[in-house]
Parts: sequence; C-alpha cells; structure tokens
Amino acid sequence: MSFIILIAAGLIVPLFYRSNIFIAKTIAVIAFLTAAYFIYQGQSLNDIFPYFDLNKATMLMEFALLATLAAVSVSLTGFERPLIAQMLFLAGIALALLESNNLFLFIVLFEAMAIISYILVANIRNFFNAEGAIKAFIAGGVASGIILLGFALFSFVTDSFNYANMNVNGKYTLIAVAIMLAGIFYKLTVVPMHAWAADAYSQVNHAAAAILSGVIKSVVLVATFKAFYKFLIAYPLATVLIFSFFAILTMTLANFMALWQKRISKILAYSSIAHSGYALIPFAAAASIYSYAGVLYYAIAYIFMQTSVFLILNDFRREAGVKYLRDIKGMGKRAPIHSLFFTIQLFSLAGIPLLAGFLAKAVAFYSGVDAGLWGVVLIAALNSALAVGYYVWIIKHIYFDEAENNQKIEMSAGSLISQLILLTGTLYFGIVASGILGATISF
Amino acid sequence: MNNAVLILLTMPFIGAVLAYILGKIKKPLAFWTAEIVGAILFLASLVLFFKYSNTVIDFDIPWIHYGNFVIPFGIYVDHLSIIMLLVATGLGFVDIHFAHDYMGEEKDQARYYSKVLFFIGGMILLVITKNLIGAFVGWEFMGLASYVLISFWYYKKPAANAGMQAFLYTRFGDIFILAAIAILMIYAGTTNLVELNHLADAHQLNKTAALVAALFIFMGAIGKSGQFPLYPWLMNAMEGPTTVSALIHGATMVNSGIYIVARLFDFYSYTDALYVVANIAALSAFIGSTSALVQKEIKKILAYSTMSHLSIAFVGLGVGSLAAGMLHLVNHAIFKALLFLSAGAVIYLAHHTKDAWKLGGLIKRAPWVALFMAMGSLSLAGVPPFSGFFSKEFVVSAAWKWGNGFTATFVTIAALLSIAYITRLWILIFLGEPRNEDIAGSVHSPSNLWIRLPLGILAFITLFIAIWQGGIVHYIVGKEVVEPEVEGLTAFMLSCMLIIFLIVVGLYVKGLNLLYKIASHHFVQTIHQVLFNGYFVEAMITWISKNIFVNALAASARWFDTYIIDYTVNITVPITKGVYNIFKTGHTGRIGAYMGQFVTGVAIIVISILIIVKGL
Repeated sequence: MSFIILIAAGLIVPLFYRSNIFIAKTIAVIAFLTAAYFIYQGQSLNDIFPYFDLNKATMLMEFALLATLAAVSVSLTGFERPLIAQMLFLAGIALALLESNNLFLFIVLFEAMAIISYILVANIRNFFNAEGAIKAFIAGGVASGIILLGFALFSFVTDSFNYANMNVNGKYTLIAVAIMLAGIFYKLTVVPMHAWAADAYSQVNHAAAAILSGVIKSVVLVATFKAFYKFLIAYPLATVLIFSFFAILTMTLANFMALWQKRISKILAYSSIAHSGYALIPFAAAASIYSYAGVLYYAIAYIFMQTSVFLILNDFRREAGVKYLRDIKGMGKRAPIHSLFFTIQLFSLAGIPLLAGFLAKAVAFYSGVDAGLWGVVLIAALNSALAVGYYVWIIKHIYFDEAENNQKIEMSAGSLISQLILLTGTLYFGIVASGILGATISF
Repeated sequence: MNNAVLILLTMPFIGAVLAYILGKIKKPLAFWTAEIVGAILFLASLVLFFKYSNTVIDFDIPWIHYGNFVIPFGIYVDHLSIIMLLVATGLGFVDIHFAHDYMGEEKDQARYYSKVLFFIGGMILLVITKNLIGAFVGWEFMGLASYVLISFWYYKKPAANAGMQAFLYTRFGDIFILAAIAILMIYAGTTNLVELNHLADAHQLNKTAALVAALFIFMGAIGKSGQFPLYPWLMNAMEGPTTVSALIHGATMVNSGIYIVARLFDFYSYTDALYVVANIAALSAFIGSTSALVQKEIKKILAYSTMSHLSIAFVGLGVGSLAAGMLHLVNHAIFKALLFLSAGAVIYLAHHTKDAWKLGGLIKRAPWVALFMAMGSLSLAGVPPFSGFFSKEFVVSAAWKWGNGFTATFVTIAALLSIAYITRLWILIFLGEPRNEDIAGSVHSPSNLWIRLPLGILAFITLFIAIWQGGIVHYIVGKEVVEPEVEGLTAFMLSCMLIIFLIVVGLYVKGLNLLYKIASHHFVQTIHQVLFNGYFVEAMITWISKNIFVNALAASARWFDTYIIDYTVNITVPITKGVYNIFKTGHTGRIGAYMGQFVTGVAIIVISILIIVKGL
C-alpha cells in the first residue's frame, strides 16, 4: 500500500511544480506520512507480491528513511523541485529494496535505485554538475555490468533466489558473491571504487548529494547486509579478510584525503567515504550477534547526519555562495541557526557522545570487538580521532574566525523544519539505543 | 528521615539559592532570607538537642550504587554532632544578624548571604555525616565557601590572592584526606566513621595502615585548622570581611579539623597518632601565641590567637583527653566569635581602620563594645570565672598529666601568653588617645539591635556557660570526667598571668616610650621580624613551592610538553600531508583512471577470493 501511495504521489506531484511548489511539498509530505502509517500497520509489499518481508528492524530503517526524505522535500526550493517526485519514487523503491526477500529482486531494485540516482544528479546547471553527473553515471554503468556478471554466475549455481533457500555451498558461489559485492561496493563508495563519489558528491547539486550520499547509501548498506548475510556467515575467513581490508583501506584513505581538502563539499564527500569504512566493520564481524545492530544503527544514524550537513551546505551555497573553507569564516555570527545545526551534526559525524554518530560507532565497533577484530577496531578508533581533526577544523572556521563580510543569512521555515526533523533523529538515536538493539536481537 | 535533620541538610542550600535570587530582586531581601534560614537552622539544632539527646539518629543510604560499587552516605547525629551543630548554627545565626550593619554598605549583598548559607550547609553536612566520604564532601564545600568568602572583595588584589592561598593550602591538606579514604577503603574495608572507631576498639585494624590513614586525615586537619606548617593562609584570610573571619576563620570552619579528630578519637587513640597530634599542636600553639604578640592588625592578632587556641584544643585531644579538647573548642568558638565580632564592630565604627596602632581611646565612643570585648578577652586569657579559664586549665593539666615535657611546656607558654596579646590589643584599641586624626572626630555609633545585641548575647554566654562546664563535658563524653590534679598548677598559672598582665598594662598604658626604646634594639628587632612574619613559614613554603614545584618540576614538565608532546602533535601535520600527497595521486579527476582503479579493486577481490578458495 505504501509503495502504491508513494509511486502515485510521485506521478501527481510534477503537476504542481509550475503552479504551486507548496502544494507539491504538502502532497509529498502527506505521502511520506501515510506510507509510514501503513508500514506501522504492518502492511508490506508482501500482501501483493510474496517476495517481501517486513520486520521490526526494517520498519525502523524505513521510518528513518521516510522522515529524512520528508525533511529533504520540505527544504527544497527553486530549481531543485524535480527532486520531490524523484524522491517519492526513490522512497517507493527503497522500501521495496529494504523489504525484499529475494536476491533477484534485490538486484533489480538495486538497479532501479541506481537509475533514480542518475536522474537525481542529472539536474545539471553548470559544468561542475555535468562532470559529477557523468562520473556517477559511468561508474554506475561499469558497476552494473560487474554486478550482473556476478549475478549471472550465481544464478548458475543456486536453486533459489530466496534469501532463506539460497545455495551457499556451490563451487562458484563464493566467487559469484564476491563479484556481486565488488559491484555493490561502488554504491557504498568503498576504496578503490570510491573515486567517482568524491567528485560526484561534491560537484552535483548539494540537495542531490544529500540524497545520494546520505539516503541511498544507508539503504543499500542495510539491504546488502540482509541479502548477503548468509554468505558472510558461511565463509567467515573470506568475510573477515576482505571486509577488514577494505574497511581499513577505505577509512584511512578517506580520512587522510579529507584532512587536506579546501572545498567543504569535498571534505564532506570524503567524510562520507570514511563512514563507509566504519560501516564495513560490522560486515567483517558478521559472526557477532551485534553485527546487524551495528549495520542498522550505522545506517540510521548516518542517514540523519549526512543528509543534514549537505542540506545546510546547500543553504550556505544558495544564500552566500559558499564553496571553500574560507567562505564559511564567521558563519557563527552571520547564520547562527544554520551554524548551530551544522555544528551539532558535524559533532555527530565525528562521534561525540549523546549524538547518534557516537552510538552508531559504538555499536558497530562493539560488534567488531565481539567478533574478535581488535586490530580493525583499534585502527577505526584511531581513524575516528583523525576525523575529528577536519570536522573541528570546519567548526573552527565557523565560530573562531572573522567573517569577510557581515551579510546575515536567514533560515527559511522549510529549512528550519527539515533541520529540526533531522536533529530530532540524531538526538533521539544518540540517547535511546534500545529501539534498534531490541529490534535486531532476534536476527 | 528525621524532619529536623532533613531541614538541616537541605535548608542552607535552598536558602543560598533563594537569598541570591531574592537579593538580586530587592537588596534587603537577601539579608532577611539569610536571617530567617539561620534562625530556622538554629531552631532545628535546638530541637535535636532537646528531643534527641537520649537517642542517636543513625541511618544509612547509599549515595552511589552501581553493581558491587557502593559509595555509602549515612547520617549520624550523636552528642558530639549536636554540640557542633549548635555551635555552627548558633554562631552562624548571630553572625548573619551582625552582618546587617557591618555589610550594610556592601552592594553585592545577595552574593554574600548566599555564600554564607552555603558555608553553613557544608559545616552541617560535615558534622552530621556518618561516612568519611560524606564528611569529605562537606569539608570541600567549606573549603570552597572559605575561598569565595575570603576573596569576596575579589577586585582587591590582596583579597583575591588570600583566597587563592587559602584554597591552595587547604587543598594540599585535603589531598591527604582523599588518600586516607583510599587507604581505609583498602585496608579497613570501610570509611564509616563510627565503624572505624568500633574496629579500633576491637583491635581489628592493620595498625600501620591505620596509623598512615590517621596521619593523612590529620594532614587535612592541619590545613583546615591552621596548624603548623599550613597556617599562613589563616592570617591572610583576614583580608575577607570581618563577619566572615568571625564565622569561618574564628569560630566554626577551623574547628572542623578538631571535630574530625574528635569524631575518630578511638581510632586515633588506637593508632598512636595522637602523639603526633599533641606535638604538632603544641608547637603550633607556641608559634601562634608568640606571633600574636607583635602583630599590628586587629584581625591578625585574633587570627594568630585562633591558631594558638585551636592548637590548645588539639593538645587536649592529643594527650588523650577528648573532654578537654572539645570543651575548649566550644568555649573558644563562642569567645572567639565574640572577639571577632567586637573587632568587626570596632572596625566598622572606625571606618574600616584595621591597624590597632591607629586606633585608641575608643572606650569613650563605644563603652558597651569595650565591655563586651573585655569579657571576650578575659575569657580568652583564661581568667576565672570566665569559661576560657576552665577549659584552658583542663587542657594544661591534662598535658602535664599525660603529655611529654615538650607538649606540656609549650602549651603552658601558649596559654599564659594569651593574656599578653589580648590585653595589648584591648589597650591599644580602647585606651589612651586616638592615634589617628581621621577617626578622632567622627565615628559611627553602634546600633543597639544589630551590633550591641549580638555582642551582648555572646558575652553573656561566654560568662555563664562557665556554670555548665561539667555538664558540657558529660554531654559530649557521656560520663563524668574529673580534671586531673596537678599540684600547684592553677596557682602558678594565675600568678604568672597576673605578672604578665601587669607588665603589659605597665608597658602599654604608661611606658610606651620604654617600649619604643626596647623595640629599637637590633636584637629585639630581629626577634620582632621573626615573630611578625610568623616564623617565616610562609616564605619557606613559598620558596619550596616556587623553586621545587614551579621552577624544577613544572619547568621540566613544560619542557617535556613543549619539546616532546607538542613536537609529536606538530609532526602530524607533515605526516598527514605526506600521506595525503601519496593518496592524491590516485585522484586525478579523470573518469578513466577511476574506472581503472575500480577494475583493480574488483581484481583484488576476485584474486584474493581465488586464493582463499584454493586454500580452502
């Protein structure tokens, strides 16, 4: 039901783009809310098509997703309005992807999501947008090919695509899964499949980047873990080796790269890549009973904070043409409300306690410790410390440097509402951990 | 929980907040809030005195309870606590009342009364808690209150410095209490003050550990009660308002060291730490009484006298007579509060002139104040029939009976000298001609209600409490204690005191010229310098802390910080830059290169999987 509502709303919304953007936003928000309501009622796609499965953990992720998308759609203005319909479609597909119970559907919906992400970035206004969009598109194309290669190989060796009945012991299963994962890694921006993301996230429109780096990545993270959990358990050695290696590589490289960037959007892009590295730790620690909790917590925490920082950056860019670090000097005085939200969310990204980013890291790292991956967790902790360097560097520019001009930046009501929604998520999941842990304990 | 105890525990802190808020709204409200709260606290103490003198209030509640880790917090109100409560709240109330005029010209009254109430709360917490940890909290509350009250006039540099000095000196002692808590936790398994006494009585404690703990707690007491060598802060603390000096540095807070030793008296007896207590205290008593002889400022004379008399009380405890020590503590608290408040009245009358040599002849202006101060002085000097006589006599005879020669001699000298400095002070203030033109003409006249009444009450008490000396002792110790007989001691003491009194009167009333002549001699000058500067202990402590702690230890730590730690931090910049430059080579911006990396990544995965599969 929620799927139908979202798709239907996505079809209706474009009618109001020209006449009244407010109506379009209202329809979108109502659609997100009703979708959430039906999910809360326990109505999943399974009622129509028996390849889906809705449980409490998925439900939590879906609520976070819908809340975030609602927040993004409230904050949009001007030429960003096509995003509203795209987000409604995205929400429908993301719900299906999260609920899917079948590897075939997973691949199809993953590709559908990839296509929506190309459309998202295709809102081209200048040369940089075009470059980012093209890079995202080409990388996505190559990745699709690789995923399909792996999937084709897998389809030879398995009797069923249902998660519960998939063959895990076939001769080529491991290699097929590995190739599929390699393709999916592109979406998770794992080094060395990340380079497109560093450019695309920073060059496309920031609102699109917010969805691309925050929402889509989180959804893929959770869906991938659910889809491949059986294989991760079945081949512990390969899982630990591959995921630990890529986790360490990803976070280390991304953090060092972020440390020396001058462009804020690039810092945030690399920070996003580094977070993929942290989020891979529960994958490596799949044997631990906390692994799903780690992935889910990371995805939920990340969806709020990453989306929020890119939306604020979008406001900064639109109102004050902010691009580089030097442009946000003295923003604490020029745009106090923006700066406050930005600071809190950056702190969350850095992993300061009482914010979701901290608990997410804590749970994810704990799953690693639980699985005995002390070394990886230690490196991740050191990396988190390194990461604080560039987050605090941004905050230092905001609050402790003198502004070059004193033009004030007002926060629009839409922005304020959207930031409040995202902040609520960050704070709530930073304080109340029992919801997610309780939902995943029986996995 | 008992209502009176609950009021005593919470009311001061509620009152402190209220006094501040109300005082900010309307200035006089701060005083009235404090006055009412002070009265309520005193009444609550009286209720405890009259209703609970037969039963001990005793209950335990855990303060922090986390798994096996429990920090207990208990309330224990016995006769000792009730006496201390009466002293603290009674004198606190009188002090607040007195402050109406003395602090009347002060702008920031809200802050003053709020801090005073906070202090009283800390003192109450200390004396009714059952546990050393709770006591430590009260102890620190008082330390904090003392700091903020000494530097109440924070814009005056000497006051701000004195506050910091008091804070540092007492904190140095407090660290030892913290260490004692840890030692007791490990070796005795408890920090319960009552239980510690029981364990000591039953000989169930490790004697060495108990001795160390007892000495460490005494270190804290040294800091708080101004004993050798941590006393210089007490003298400089006189930079604060006189009402503060009266309450905190004369009558109550400085007693907390004596209280804690008295509370752990069985524990101290068991560990032989009392020997140390007695000797340190005798030395301090001597230093205090001799230095008091030559001071110029009224309040410094009283401060040295406080130090000396606290030491006398400590000697009482140290030679094994709880009764003597506590009796002197109670008597001293009352007459010292009287003296400080009288001094405050004098300073107030003389427009904040503190130098005794600039005063004189005030008896005509303020005969009642002179009378009350004389009564306090006589009590301090130990002249019968004032209360000071009995307790001082008690301590001295106990020292002769049970103490060693050093203790007995020094405490006797200190006891005898008190008549000298207090007579000198009284004569300088009230007799002769005004030595300062400024105050010759215009002095405030003291008001009846706000100045004469509290002084009169205290003077009355210090005279008439002498009747109940035996009763107080019986109340505290729980049994009849007979003063040890030392033959001829009373007669010796009284005759010596008379001789000293006559000498002082002769010198200061009639023989000032002779006095000047004596004082101009080089040898006398040297002695005067030594005494005036409190035996240069402050200079010694400053020298040690400056040369050893600041210039040696802190400087080497700074060197380590600058050249090792900072270097390590600074070098992260080139390191990260280098790593960044290596990583950067992969990010050319060309999508072809990116896809090459992409495929390399896939290849890594596939090849490693193949290796793993083969290995499997």
